[in-house]
Amino acid sequence: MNKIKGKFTKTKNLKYISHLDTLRLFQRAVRRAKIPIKYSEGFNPHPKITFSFPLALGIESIGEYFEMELEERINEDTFINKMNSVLPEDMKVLKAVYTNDKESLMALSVWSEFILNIELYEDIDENLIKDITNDIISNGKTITRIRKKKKKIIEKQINTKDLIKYINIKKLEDKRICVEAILKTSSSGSLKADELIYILKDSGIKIEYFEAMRNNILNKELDPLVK
Amino acid sequence: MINKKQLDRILLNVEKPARYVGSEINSIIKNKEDVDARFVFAFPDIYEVGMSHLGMHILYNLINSRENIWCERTFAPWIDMEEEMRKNDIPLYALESKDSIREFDMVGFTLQYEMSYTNILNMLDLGNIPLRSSDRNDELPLVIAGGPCAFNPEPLWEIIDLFVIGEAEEVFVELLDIYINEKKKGYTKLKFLEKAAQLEGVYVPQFYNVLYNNDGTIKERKVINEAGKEIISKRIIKDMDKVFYPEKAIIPYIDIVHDRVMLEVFRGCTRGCRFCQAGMIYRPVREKSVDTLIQQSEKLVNATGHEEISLASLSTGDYKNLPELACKLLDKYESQRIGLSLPSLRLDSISYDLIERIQKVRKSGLTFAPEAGTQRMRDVINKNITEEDILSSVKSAFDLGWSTVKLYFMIGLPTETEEDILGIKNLAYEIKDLFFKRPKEKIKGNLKITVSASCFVPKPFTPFQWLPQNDVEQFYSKAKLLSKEIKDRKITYNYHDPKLSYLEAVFARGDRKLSKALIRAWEKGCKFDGWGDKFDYNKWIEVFEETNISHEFYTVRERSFDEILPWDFINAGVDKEFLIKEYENSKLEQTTSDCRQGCKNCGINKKIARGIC
Repeated sequence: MNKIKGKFTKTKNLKYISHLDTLRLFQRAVRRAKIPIKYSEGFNPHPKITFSFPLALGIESIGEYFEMELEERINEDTFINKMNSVLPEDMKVLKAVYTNDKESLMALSVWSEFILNIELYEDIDENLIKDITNDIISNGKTITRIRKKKKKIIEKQINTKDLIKYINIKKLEDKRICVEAILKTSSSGSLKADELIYILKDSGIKIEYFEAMRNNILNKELDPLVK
Repeated sequence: MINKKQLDRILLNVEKPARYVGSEINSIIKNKEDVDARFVFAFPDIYEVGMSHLGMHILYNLINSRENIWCERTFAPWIDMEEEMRKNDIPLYALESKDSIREFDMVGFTLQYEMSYTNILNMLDLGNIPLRSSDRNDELPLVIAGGPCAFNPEPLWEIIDLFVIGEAEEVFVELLDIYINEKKKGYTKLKFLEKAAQLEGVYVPQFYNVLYNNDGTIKERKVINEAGKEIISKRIIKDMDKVFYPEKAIIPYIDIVHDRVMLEVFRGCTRGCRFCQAGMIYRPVREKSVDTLIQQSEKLVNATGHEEISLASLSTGDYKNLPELACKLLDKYESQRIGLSLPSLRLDSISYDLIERIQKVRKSGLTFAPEAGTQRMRDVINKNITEEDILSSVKSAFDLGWSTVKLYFMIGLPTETEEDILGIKNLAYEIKDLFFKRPKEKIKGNLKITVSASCFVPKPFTPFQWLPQNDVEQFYSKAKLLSKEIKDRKITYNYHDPKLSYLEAVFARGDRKLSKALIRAWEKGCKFDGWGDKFDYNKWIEVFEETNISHEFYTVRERSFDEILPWDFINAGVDKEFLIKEYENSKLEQTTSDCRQGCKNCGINKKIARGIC
């Protein structure tokens, strides 16, 4: 099997495109780069590409992962160069390796490392930051998720304790804070960066605006999906 | 430049933010200090619609092929984005530079559809550009327009400074050259317009005055600036193998309406359907050679990575070398899984083997446009296909494995009777019977027939340009008759909004008086009129009352042959005598054959095509 997996970035303007848009972008890039990719069978054959846990719209990333199957092997560096010559400026392949992994990238994704740069309406006290951090780590917070099932609206209360592996809030100058966090992003449960913002707001932090970046996606051993 | 940080902050509050950021692959960035002129191509609809338009890609790349000119793009922001922009004082900007459109030398709108006119006003306003040409001084951008609806430019006369009539590739470059030249000498808007009006195909409405009779019809058109020509002749490209065609196309990040390589195989159409404006105004037929098309496909596939090539034209099945072209494209792209789509395909024009090969790569839907339900009605409109043609094509399609068929019809056609309307139902039912009458082993899939009925809108430069349109009630009763009659689980029936088609007809054959109605409608909040849920018919009726305009004057009134029509000063190449003859033939239910089977003397070959037809 010629399965190749790799790491790529999705920054700046590309934070506005969805998971599905990213897939289409990759499929067309692969064709422009003349990568000998394998196609699916059926009425509308498409290049076989899969990704790690989807990134929400509006969030940048320097640690996304793809996997594709090739008809024949090409050198990894050639692959990277070919792809990068056709990808947009704000999306670049960083690494690529051949793999025999049976498990999909989706199944391997368990945690995501985020950095959030947050602007506040007013300055915040260091001690309050400590209290909030401790509370989130030791007790977790409760969030409400609303789902629409047909015409019924289902509300679900979730405690975030098991969904946050690590959180560190740093106070910066000029009414700004920086949050580093490792959040669960797996098919069996996940916490979105937006929801973390909600938790911080709920804890009394007056957030005006934030920018989020996913630094990496980690497996259950907390290792990056591609080393 | 607009405040990018501010833009960033509003983008996550709106649907599909990627519509508003640009930076797509193959979009073109230049240094604005290095160019002599800046042009923004403005599409008066949302990004997904505008980016699907072939003309935009052609002109964008053509203008940008000139090093000293930078062409950018702008689209109508959707309601949510407009709200955010107005709230945050962000003007309408061009996607490439993020500069406000007010900073440009020229803003060029394409007129694809009458119901996008209010969007033009809204976009100018969002760009802080005064709506009326007379309110824009030498410092402000020139506002120009072209496209099919420019063949009757008069409803927009107060707004647009200059119209380009016909195919724009050559005249555009000439226009920009004059502009750059004037700019170097010391530009004034008036001097530029006077020079530009000397070009064939350029119309400057402010150089004319129109006088009316008491009944509202036109008494006289007067040239009030001698720079204006009496007659404006449309422009055409003589050699389609030599005309500019883009070697790359912008690849949108988001899903758009038509997301594929578009190969334009020819311009014009020889069929002569009497309701069809495109068939008249784009004459003569000019084909590209197979070699040219293969070369263009190669470049575009390499530059985009698209998975589908579409052969675009008014009637691709009529392309002389279609089998050769299709075979060559399939040979080349089959192995790369690049599919071929042939819109407006007639199955009789192409062999079954070829259809099977096309379907092997990518399976597409099947559409037929009988346009009318009875042979009599089809003869009136000169849709030269028989019921046998339709049924045998559909039968072969079923045998090839299709089970989903879409059928397009029109209601409200001239001389239509109840029998003609019920003929639509009968044809759909016959097609259904055809599917099940085949041997059992051949019946595959789940049959689904979709019947769509649109409401006939008489258009300028067609043999029906003098005829009354049905009123809204007539359309509704006809449309509803079919809803009552078509009762079959296998057949889905839908019809276009009669009110929308009625308003479209007002503007399609409108005159200068409508400019004020348009501005009033925009003031009252009309925009995205073509988008069913945003269309407010009652508001429009109020507008006509407030501006003292009779909409019936434009729609249900029959014109006499000697009436001066608002678009008579434009020479589209087809003689009025020909249109009258075709109208007389339609009354006699007499058909006129395809011009490929002998010239019908429509006039195009005399003045405009000069022998190339």
